Amino acid sequence: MTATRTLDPTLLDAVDVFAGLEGKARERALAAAQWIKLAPGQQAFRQDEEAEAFYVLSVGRLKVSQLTPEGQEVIIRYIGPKEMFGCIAVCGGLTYPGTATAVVDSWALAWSRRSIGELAQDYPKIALNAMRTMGGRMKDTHARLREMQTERVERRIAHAIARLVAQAGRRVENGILIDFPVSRQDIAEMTGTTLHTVSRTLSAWQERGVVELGRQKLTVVDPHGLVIIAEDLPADDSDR
Amino acid sequence: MPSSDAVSVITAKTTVAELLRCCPRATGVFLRRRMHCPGCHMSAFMTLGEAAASYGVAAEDLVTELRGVVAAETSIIDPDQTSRLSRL
Repeated sequence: MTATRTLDPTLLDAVDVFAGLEGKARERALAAAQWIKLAPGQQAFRQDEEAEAFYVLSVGRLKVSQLTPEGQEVIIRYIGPKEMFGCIAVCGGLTYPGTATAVVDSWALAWSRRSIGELAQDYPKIALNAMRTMGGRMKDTHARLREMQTERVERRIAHAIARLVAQAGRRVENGILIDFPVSRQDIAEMTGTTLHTVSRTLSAWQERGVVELGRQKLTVVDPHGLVIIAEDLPADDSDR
Repeated sequence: MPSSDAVSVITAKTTVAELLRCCPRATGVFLRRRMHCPGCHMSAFMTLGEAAASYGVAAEDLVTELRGVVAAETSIIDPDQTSRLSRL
């Protein structure tokens, strides 16, 4: 994997982890780095391996993925030029959270755990910069987590309404009416969520033309739209 | 030819649930067209025409294909199918 390649001196300027370093520090950082070339399908590191090196991608693209206990691959993120990967090696003593695999021909600069550790000791800015990047990625992860939680609640509410439709639906002119008084509190209790969440979700659906709300009355105006939410179906096979 | 009666009662106004109750084998038609109607809570309320529109499928094509399946089924498997379907 080790190879030589002419270094584009602007590369380090563009990498957050070396931001704000003076000339000498930058020279040392460069001297400690090694080029690696990765062909498509080749891995820079594997999940759960001891984090032995830290990388900056120069050209190409990598995917970072995790394997579920069932053996399914889940892609966590893609890494593009000038991005770091294997940042966890800066901390030392930890394992890689995922597997980094090249998807196209890629070149990266690699620092051993020891050399990046020494650099970080001499130039604490490197450690701070790495922390900032990791913090940014953590923020992305939290945002995604929040999205998934919200999605789950939405799907539960859609399922509950679909069940009510199956049990007590009546075809009316503008859709399917749930033919008994059903309050938002009832739906909150059916789905283990709060009245506030149910109200907010139903209002949003009303605006999108999925349901129509009345006093203790709920009409599903777009039954297929509700099923798309409940089952997480792709919406683009609909022609509306 | 007993199947012709059965076939002609299937129209774009037949609900998905009615059709599947009488001809479970038609499930395959929906699955091949990537329509999620079989087992859907809405199927009792959605007509074949509405289901087709929801998935961007031409209702005529869907009805024609379903009639083909029902015709094959009634002539081979279930002689009562005609009477059950005509009560729809």
